[in-house]
Amino acid sequence: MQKRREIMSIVQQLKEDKLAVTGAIIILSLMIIAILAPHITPYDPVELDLENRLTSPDRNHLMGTDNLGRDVLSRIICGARVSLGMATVVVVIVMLLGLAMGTTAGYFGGVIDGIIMRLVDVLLAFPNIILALVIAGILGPSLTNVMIALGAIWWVSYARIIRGSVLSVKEKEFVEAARAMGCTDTYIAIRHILPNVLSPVIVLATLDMGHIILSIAALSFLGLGAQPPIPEWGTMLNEGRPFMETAPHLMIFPGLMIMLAVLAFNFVGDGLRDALDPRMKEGTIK
Amino acid sequence: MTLLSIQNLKAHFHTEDGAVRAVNGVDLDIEEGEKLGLIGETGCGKTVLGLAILRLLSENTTVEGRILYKGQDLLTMSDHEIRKIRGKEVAMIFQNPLSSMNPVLTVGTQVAEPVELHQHLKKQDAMQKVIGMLKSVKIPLPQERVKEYPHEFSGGMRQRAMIAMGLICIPSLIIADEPTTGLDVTIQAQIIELMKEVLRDSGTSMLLITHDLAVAAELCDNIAVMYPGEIVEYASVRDLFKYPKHPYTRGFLNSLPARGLKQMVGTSPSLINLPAGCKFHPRCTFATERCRKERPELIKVGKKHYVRCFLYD
Amino acid sequence: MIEVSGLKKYFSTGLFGKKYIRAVDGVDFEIEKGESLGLVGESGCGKTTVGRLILRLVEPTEGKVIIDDTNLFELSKKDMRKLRHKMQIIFQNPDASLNPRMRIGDCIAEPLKLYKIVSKERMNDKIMELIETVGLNPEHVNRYPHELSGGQNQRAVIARILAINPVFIIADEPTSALDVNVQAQILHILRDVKDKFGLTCLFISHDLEVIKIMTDRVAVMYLGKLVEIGKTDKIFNDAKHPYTKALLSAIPVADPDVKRKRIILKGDMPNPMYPPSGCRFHTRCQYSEKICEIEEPSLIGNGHKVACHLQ
Repeated sequence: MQKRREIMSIVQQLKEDKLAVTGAIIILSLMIIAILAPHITPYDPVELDLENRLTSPDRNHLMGTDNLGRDVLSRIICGARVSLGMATVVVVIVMLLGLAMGTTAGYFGGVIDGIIMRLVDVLLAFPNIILALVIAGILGPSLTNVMIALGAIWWVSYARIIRGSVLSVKEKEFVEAARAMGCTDTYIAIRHILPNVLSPVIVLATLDMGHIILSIAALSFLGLGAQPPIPEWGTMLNEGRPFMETAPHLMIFPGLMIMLAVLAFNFVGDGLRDALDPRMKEGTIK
Repeated sequence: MTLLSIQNLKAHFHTEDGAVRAVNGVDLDIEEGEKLGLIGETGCGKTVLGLAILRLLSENTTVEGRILYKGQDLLTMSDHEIRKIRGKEVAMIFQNPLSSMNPVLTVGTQVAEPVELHQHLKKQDAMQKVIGMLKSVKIPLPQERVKEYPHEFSGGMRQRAMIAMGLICIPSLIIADEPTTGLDVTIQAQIIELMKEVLRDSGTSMLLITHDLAVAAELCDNIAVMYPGEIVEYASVRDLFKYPKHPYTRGFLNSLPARGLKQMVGTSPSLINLPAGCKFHPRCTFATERCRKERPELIKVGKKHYVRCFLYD
Repeated sequence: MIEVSGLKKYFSTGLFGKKYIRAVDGVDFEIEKGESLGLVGESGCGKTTVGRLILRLVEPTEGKVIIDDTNLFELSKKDMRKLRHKMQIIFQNPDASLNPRMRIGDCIAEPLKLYKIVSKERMNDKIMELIETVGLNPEHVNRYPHELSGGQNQRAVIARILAINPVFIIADEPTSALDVNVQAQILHILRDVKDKFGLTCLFISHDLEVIKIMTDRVAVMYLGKLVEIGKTDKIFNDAKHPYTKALLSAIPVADPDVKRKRIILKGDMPNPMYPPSGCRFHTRCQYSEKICEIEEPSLIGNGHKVACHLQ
């Protein structure tokens, strides 16, 4: 009951934020499209139709066809499934890894903290995408490997933020009070510390969904991610590149979709940041 | 002679939750050389009142009324004119000297700021003046300490430096907002004695804003008691402590540990949601129908003793 | 009931942990059952650390805290946890003492669940009973700490503590962050629950006025050591140590007719990293003599004990 009321009040807050509502509607529609993908595509996204190659958007093919005569709209719809699905998996991996590492480092401190944080420092010293490129390159091009590569490098910023929050929450009197009350370390970490560090992480994750979609697209564009004929927005961009001048719709539509998804997640992330903190609601004057 | 005359001052903030009516029609006079204490609990609007005098409130505030300083209305002055008043004629001492000093500038530079600004002294002359001033607030080895940064000063020393900064242009009025709050008792005692001495020597008037009655009793001649947005009682220190009139003042005095720790029911109302009529009526044991509807005016009950209560009507 | 002896806590600082802040440097006292002892001192004197040490929220460098014949510092972490419900602490900042993501009711329910004090069915009744004891309204149960005032939160903290029936309570500046009137309300509640449940108290404060009315005995602390300990009325009327005298004379009095000579101490408290030799107070003491710089005075006397060479 209480949890539901809590969630309702967050939803209420979000409702008043027009950008967040727009973002949420876009994400929701994309998700519905992704789920229903196999049933709503007008054509088979991988079926070749060599007679109708590179046709411009018309009544039969709303977004035209590509160089092998595949329907772009159908591929975009199926691509939503791949792109969003992968991004979600990566974000979940990253959050869990970041939470585990960050909380451990922050709460227990000492040597464990030192080891984890040095690892974080090393990983942060490289640009994310290059590191992902290297890992994906070593593992070989495939969707799974791209997810592993992104997960393996992306958690560091989460771990760092979480560790920082844990360190400050750990010093709060209510944590000390819980210790004085006889609560165990694990209980304190889960019941008292985690909920208080979670909201920045959720915000970060929402904002990062966009980045991750972009990175997956970038890696796929470079040929490391989804392999043909799997429809993925980044891969589609890559495949359309040679025909940029003759058939620009091959790049415009996937590009627009990537932009739309990234923007939507950013809107919702911004809205969430304002809505999630119960202390932000009132207390404007204190 | 009246140095500062606040007339029907109102200050309202506009927030998402509604208007915060921090100051609601305050009249207050400060004579030359007078030390006036403004007493009230957290959130009664006393700090806002202090900031309003020097027009230091943020943009989203509406301020109405008149604040006459030596006959000139501070509220209608141009920005240029008010800047000439700030620091030179009317100076402020803030509660937390650590956050009200810039951590990357030396104490000397900061204390010298008002003189450089208003008296256009050369750096060396200004520094000479600063050293003299730090000596008069009893900071040991002032020649050395002007070169130090705020974090190298202890809490008490920082507050001394703040007082030096406030007094360096020999202003006519000092507004001190909780100058001893957060200091230890022995350090607080040092600062109280110091303030008594420097104010006596310079003849500067003071508006002391505090929640601590005892500090006000030691430093002030007269005291104004504020209860959300209004002055409810004004009297000389002696009268206020010996013959408090307003039920709130009495309750406040009696809740002091030294005076029996008697509890007053309830808490102060929020400035967003003020009760109608007398602001104190929901907590007052003498409240009548009239108190719930009508706002009492300040009534004269003695020589320089005023109270905002129908009991004395 | 509680015996503290030779208690020391050095915090290491500096780049390689080579420097020590001697926060608490050899403190001894005992508290009788049902008694309320005041611990007074200025910020940085180590009084808060003493409180944390007694509850073993901070591990000591040296010393013993004996409660009912058990030395807390010899217990394993697990055994210690089993003892914790006996002693509780109230912190200075009530707004930070409650988890901001938990409703007041959940905060109070937590210890009840942890120690299985009441059955699930009786949980609500018990919470209501506690809420009433501390003077909160039933509607406050569903509020978050940030929606309540400091005074109300402090009441909730007290309710939460009473939930597990402690025998010993440490109140660490419980009213410093509150307005005078709210302070009066909280102190009344503390006094009431202390009498009602027969609690033993350690009352830590810098506010001598509060200490005066809340305690039976007072210990005065300066720079990690006790300088004087005795019955509250003895300390307030017949203080022996020059520091206690200075502290008492420094309290501003809310009465314009009281005129008295105030002892103004020289300078600030020395850095606890480099405490002065001999008597730690000698650098600020107006009576200081040769011996004070060399030899450290010990806390002596019968009942009313003082650490000063000149007594």
